[in-house]
Amino acid sequence: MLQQIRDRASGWIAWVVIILIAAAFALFGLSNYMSPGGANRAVATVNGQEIGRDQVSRVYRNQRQQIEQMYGDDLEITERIDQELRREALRQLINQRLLSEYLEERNMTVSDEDLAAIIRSQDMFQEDGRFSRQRYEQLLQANQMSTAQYEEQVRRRAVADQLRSAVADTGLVTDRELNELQRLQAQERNVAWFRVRAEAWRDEVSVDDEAVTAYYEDNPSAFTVPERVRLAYVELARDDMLEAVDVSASELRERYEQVRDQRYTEQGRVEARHILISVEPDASEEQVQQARERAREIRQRLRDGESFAELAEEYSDDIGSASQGGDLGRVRRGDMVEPFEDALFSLDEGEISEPVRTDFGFHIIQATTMERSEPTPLEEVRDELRREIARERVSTEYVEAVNRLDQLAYDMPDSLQGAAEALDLEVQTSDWMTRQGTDEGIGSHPEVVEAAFDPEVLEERMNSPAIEITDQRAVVVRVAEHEPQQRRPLEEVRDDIEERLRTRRAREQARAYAEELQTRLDEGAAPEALLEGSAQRLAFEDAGWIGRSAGDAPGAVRERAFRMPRPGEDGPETAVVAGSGDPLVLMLRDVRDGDPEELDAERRQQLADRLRQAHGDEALTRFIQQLRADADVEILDEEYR
Amino acid sequence: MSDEEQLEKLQNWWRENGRAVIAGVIIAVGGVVGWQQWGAYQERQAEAAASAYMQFMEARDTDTDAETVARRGERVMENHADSAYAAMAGLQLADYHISQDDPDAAAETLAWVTENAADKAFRDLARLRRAQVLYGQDRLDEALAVLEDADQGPYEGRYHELRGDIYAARGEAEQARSAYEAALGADGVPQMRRTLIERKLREVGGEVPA
Repeated sequence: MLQQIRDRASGWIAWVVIILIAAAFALFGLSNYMSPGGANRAVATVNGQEIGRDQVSRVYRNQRQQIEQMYGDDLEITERIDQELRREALRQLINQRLLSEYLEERNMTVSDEDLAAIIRSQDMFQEDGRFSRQRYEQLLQANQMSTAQYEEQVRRRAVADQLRSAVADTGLVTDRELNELQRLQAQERNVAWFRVRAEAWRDEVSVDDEAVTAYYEDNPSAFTVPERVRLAYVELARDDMLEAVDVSASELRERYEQVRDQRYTEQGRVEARHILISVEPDASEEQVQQARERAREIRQRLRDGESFAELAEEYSDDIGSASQGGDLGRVRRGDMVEPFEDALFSLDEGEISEPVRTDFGFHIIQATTMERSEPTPLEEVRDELRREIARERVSTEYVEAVNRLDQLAYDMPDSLQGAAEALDLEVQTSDWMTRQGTDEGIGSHPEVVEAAFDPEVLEERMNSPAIEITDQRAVVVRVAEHEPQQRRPLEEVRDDIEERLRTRRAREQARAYAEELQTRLDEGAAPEALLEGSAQRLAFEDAGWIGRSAGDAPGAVRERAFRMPRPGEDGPETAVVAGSGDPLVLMLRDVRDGDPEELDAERRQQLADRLRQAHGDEALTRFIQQLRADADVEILDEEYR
Repeated sequence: MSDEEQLEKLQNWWRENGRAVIAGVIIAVGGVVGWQQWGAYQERQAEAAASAYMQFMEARDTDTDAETVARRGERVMENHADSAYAAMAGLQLADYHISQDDPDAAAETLAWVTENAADKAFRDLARLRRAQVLYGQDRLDEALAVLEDADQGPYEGRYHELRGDIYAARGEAEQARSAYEAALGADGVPQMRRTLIERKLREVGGEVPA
């Protein structure tokens, strides 16, 4: 070994090797940049640093929780949304990592003085409007954080916020941009249109049998009645069972006595004052004896007619009450230690106790008020107790009955009669229901509908198991009647089809007429001329100036009007608007831009603020996009791509 | 070899190479110390830049006169040009100039960031804002020239949109149309922005692609 080193350790190679070894050890000790975590758990890497699955999951869970709290049942989190949430969580982590790497790499920092100033100004460390060092240390300790850790955290946050602010809060907005926006947003368009009444063609168009048949054949799904069932069921309801429960008089009395003291006895009003001669827990026998003597002396002076309040003020070691003349105010059972309480509650009003020994020392107690009250008599609470006992008993009986119902329905699968008789229930019948259920009745419970269309119940006609609809009701159902999906016969729907086809053709005719009108308008015909002799086919409606959201015009008109080019010298721009109703021939007669002068200072400021924020937000997004383009980001898990 | 022979070899080796080993360690440690000193120097510089930036921001946020605010901002830019704080100060100062109704100064500040910022992300953003300010001053040719130099990047969509605005202002509808169309085709255009670009496109007689 040594021989080998010796051979190689001559000349310049020795130098290089030694320098390298020494340097490597020195540096290794200074900073250890090994990344934690197993390689298999990484979802992505940012410049070689891993982002673990657990990190992504944490962010994901947080956000999902927030979303669920915000939307509640209004939002169903589908698999796609769920996946998008996970991807978003990863995106955020990557962005965070990119930013924090950037901050570090660019040596961004906050000087110690500035850091101190930031922390000193934080509300949570203020006391009487000033920074409190003590409060600062206490709060951190309560959160198990050292000042160094906290200061580092604040520093990082401050630096990140500096960057964010420099990019996102500087989205400058020029007057010209605001003016242009106002011209565009507050633009108004002058419109009028002919409504072509499709109704007018209804009697002219013909519909033959062939067309009806063809329509019937081409639209098989349009005339089907979905599969439906009617159910027979027996129902167990907790409330029904309450009435049947028998509660004996002795049971009632027993329960009454059990709960009388806590529930039915209004606490009396007891007020007290005391004088305490305190005894330390580790006091010697002699010291205890001295205290006892003092207490007895005071007791004697009270007996001799001295003022309780004055003696309390002078001698009581209970600092809180001494200055109040020993007054403790109202005392409830359980407020005081036991010996104290026992002594107090046995006093009559005004009576003063002998010295009472407690863990604190010797007390001399006076009951200043002593009102005791009588319990409410059983007669007045009989009904309440009866219901309570019944409910408790039913709760076991009900569960047993549900189990029994379930068992009976299973043992006699071909009928409900047996189960109904055994439990003294009636077999009832539901309305017809499809797989979508019904709005009312037992069909409104999805669990019931699901059971009804279960193959065993539907096809083999067996009883369902007991279904608990709420914790108050349970049912067993069976299919009483079943109709499979049906196609209504042609004869039944012939009129309906004919009606549809007539409407459709009339609308087609009207549309063709509308296009003809448009051509004539484009050729320079005056609108009045078109109306002549066509009163029953056409209505002329003039909305005048409409805005992007103001003015009286149907949505389709507004949408189209603002997409049309500006009219030129040679008359209005025209378009045919054909939606689900009557076709319209739309004329755009004029356009006028919004007037920047009409923006008052306040509106102008609002608009500027909104634009500024939008510019800022986008700038920040783009900034991070650039960081990401410059970095080496690899997403390892395909699910997150 | 016996232990004694081993020991002798070691002593020989040490005699021959001991000086080299000691020197190696010294050099290595010197390197580390030097590195630490360089790091400390860097840190001092970084702290100085950060402090200068904070002073500038403080002046801006209190009712300090515009001249002082500008001087402090420029101090960050000049004295710490390599630092990210220089670019940040530039962006903040330009915004401040606009709020003080001084677009000339804003454009000049942004020009500095466009040319001198250490990071492309800052240079691109400053370029966009500079063109915006020039457009606001009706210096259309200059604005267009600023955007001319721009290369592809995250701000591409915004560059195209602003080009469209400039062409539209010059009455060159056809160029405006193709610029707006390119803006709509860029990556990740936010919905609000998209609606606005579509409206602008229709204003210059374009059709919004489906």
